[in-house]
Amino acid sequence: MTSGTKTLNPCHEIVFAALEKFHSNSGRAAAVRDVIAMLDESETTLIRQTYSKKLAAVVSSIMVLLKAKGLIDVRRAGEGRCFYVSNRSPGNIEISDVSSNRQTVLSFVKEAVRHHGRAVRAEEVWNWVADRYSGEKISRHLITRNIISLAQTHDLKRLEISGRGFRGNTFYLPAGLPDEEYIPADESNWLERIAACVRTIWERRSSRVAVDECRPLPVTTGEVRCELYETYPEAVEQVAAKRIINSLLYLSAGEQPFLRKISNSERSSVSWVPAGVADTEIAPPEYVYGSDAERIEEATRKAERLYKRPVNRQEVETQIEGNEFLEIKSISGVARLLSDAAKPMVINKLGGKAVRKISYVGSINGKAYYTADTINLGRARQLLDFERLKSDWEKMTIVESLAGVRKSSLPLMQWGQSRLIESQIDGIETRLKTLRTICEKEDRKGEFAILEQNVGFAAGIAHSYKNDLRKSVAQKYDLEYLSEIELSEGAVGLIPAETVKVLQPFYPMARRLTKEYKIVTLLDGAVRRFPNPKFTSRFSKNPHTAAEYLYDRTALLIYTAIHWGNRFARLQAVTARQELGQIRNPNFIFPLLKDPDFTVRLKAVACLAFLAGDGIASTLKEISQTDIEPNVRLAAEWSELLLEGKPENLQQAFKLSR
Amino acid sequence: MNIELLEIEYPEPVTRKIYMSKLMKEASSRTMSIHKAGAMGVYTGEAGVGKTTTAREICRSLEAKFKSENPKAFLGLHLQFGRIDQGNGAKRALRSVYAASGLLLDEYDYDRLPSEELAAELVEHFRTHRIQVLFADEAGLISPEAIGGLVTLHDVAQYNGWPLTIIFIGMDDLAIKLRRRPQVNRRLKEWIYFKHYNLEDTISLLRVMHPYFDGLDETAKEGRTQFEFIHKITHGLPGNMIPFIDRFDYRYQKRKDGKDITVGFLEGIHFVTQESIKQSVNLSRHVYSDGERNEKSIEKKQSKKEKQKV
Repeated sequence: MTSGTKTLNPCHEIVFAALEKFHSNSGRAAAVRDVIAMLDESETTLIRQTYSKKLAAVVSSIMVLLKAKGLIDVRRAGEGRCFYVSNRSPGNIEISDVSSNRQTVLSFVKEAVRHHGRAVRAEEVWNWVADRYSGEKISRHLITRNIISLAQTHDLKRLEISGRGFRGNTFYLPAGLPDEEYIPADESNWLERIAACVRTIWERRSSRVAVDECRPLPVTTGEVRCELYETYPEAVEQVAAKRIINSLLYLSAGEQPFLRKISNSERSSVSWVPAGVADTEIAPPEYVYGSDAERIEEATRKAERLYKRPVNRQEVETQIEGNEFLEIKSISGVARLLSDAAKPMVINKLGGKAVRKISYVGSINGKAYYTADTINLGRARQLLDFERLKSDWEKMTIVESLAGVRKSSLPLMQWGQSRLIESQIDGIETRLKTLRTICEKEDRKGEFAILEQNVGFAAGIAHSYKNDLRKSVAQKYDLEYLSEIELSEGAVGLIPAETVKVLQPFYPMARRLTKEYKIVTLLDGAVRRFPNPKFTSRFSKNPHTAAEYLYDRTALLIYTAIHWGNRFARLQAVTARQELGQIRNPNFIFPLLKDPDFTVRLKAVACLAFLAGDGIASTLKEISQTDIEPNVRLAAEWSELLLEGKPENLQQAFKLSR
Repeated sequence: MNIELLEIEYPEPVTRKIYMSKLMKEASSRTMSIHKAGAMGVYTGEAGVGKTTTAREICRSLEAKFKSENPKAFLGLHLQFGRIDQGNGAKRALRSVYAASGLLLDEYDYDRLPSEELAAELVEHFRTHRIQVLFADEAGLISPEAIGGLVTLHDVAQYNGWPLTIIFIGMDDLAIKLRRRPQVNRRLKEWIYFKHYNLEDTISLLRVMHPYFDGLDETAKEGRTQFEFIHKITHGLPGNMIPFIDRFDYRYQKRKDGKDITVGFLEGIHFVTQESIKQSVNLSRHVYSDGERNEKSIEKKQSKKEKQKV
């Protein structure tokens, strides 16, 4: 290329072409950086290979040479900035209205200060630019460099806010603005807020030292998180958990840390105290629990030591209440934490599982029991079996049943009730024998002895009743045949839905139930229940296998008749309740129907009305037609109505009047 | 240490024979005569004169005679009241009737139901069990309120068409209690006062009670003396005669000397017990001053009664 008089070397030609290219693209004069921007990679490489200086310096020198050759013209803008125009370009090339980076950054700082109303950090300036000038090609690094440069030239004032001492906590203010009016008063940075949370918790704990008479616990990461989210609700979205941990680590590092990290290698937990707090001012590490899971484990262990067996939620809660070291920090309840702690956790990517330090042992009356001794689960199960046995014994109300035996007026029924109670006690005694060893080993001898004594005492009474009555019963009835009869056989159980159906025609509260299982609360133990032999799971779709307990149909009908029946129904029900006790096998009642005393036959008919089983209907029909006593025939007719158990029949039976 | 055991001989069990005196038979007839649509009556008289025995015998006879196929047949119920003081007496009286009927009264019903409803349930029970006569014994111990409860039972039975006769049995101030309440007094259809046995009744009872007396000739002097002696010391009250006969029988069985029983033998039995009573009373009088006061008042009452008899 020639300029008319001289030939340009390749690098000069490249730069000149770039200048003209810039003119044609933007229509304005170019600064050095604008020319550099027009160079492609090969041209840049060539220039760098040719000259040793930096590219901007080389291009600037080439511009000077081109000007000397008369090929370009120089125009000067504010602050000595040079813009170049090719002499071959049209005459309407303007100087670009672009201030220097420094001026740009200064203007950004001024805008940020105006927005925040105070001195700002470099980060805040960059955030401001990023939010508002997304099209600008100005990097964070450039902003920071120019801010530092502006501070050095006193275009900006640099303010170190005392008492904070954080790195990066330097504020900048344009020259000319008064410091006092622009010093930042609030914590404008999450790091500072997190530090303040630690400070707040620590101060709160330290203030209770005199009251609690114990050294304060160090602050855990979870507590910091809770405090932060509570104090600054926006932190929930803006500050992730990992950032909190990183912030805490940051605050505890460096030459002038704000926090001190306390590691507990045993529990693999980390906690924090303000820097400068000595170990002698903090609670010992064995009291420091890093997570709610650890606290739950310790509370479970303490409860187990106290009760000497697996424990339930309430028992764990009593250990937590009032114990600052074990206070739960999360919003989850103890029940949820226990359940979670008892689940095995995944420890590797292949799905290998490790059991946590609490194990679920079993349940009694719907209450779950846990143990912290996960190695000896067999022992824990046996101890729970003992608790279950005690609960079953109490539920059986054997003593009341024995008292009820004497209330029956018929020797045969008294004998039957005694026999039934005796067999129930035998079952308890068998279970008790299997648990003797574990109770002796686990220092539960006292409780075992008391239960054994009570069971033995009740067994003695039942046995003596049975024997006392044997002779008088044998005189009238076939004792051998009666001894073979399984007395509790024939008990019919009703699931909650069926129970509600029976009660609804009579009990207004039952009609208002929205969920059928709430019948349990409504009846509140007034009607006897027994374990459902078909029970599988509470969550089973089949209601007959989902119900853990069934209502005794006989007890339910008696209850209904007493509460809502007419006089006759009530009398029949009271008689049946008195005579039957827990006998449910109608075969035991049939011999009474042959008694010459009509009052005995009346009682037998009343009993049959509330039982279920083969032969009852036909027997009652026969009685209602053939018995010589009119009242017995009437009672049998009434009983037939009840036998079918249909709600409409029940209503008719209970409302029937003479 | 060796302790010598006492020689104890078990007494022979005895099945009591009941002697129905003329008065007792009369009382039974008079009671049945008022029982048509249900009624109320009173048996009064001194303790031991045979009121309770009469009531029990009536119940026993009704039971023995009862046949289901006879629609007229019914049964009786005898119950002995304990003390019922003032305060919810009506319900408590009804609860006693429940207990005597062999029916358990649910405490929930007891609290919840008014006495009329409890009475109605009882009537239903009586109807089912064909009980039409109720002997309320020791009614002198119960409060006027409790008596009112029994009257309610009677009235409810009438209202429900069940003929129920209630006989109040007692001594004490029963007669005055009943007379003072017009609601009760005007419903009482029969009063039966049980008098002391005369000598003939005493002899008849003794003959039934013990084979020795059955074989004793009342026309012979010794025999008559013995009968008169017993009649005198027991004041003609069967309640006193029976224990005397028991004491007599025990000694009679042990007697091995083969001699005839004389009135002296009977006197010995009587005075041994009397002497013990006297010594016990003296002890009470001298050691416990209240005992002296009470004993004097008892003596006064006894002498007053004897004067009245004369």
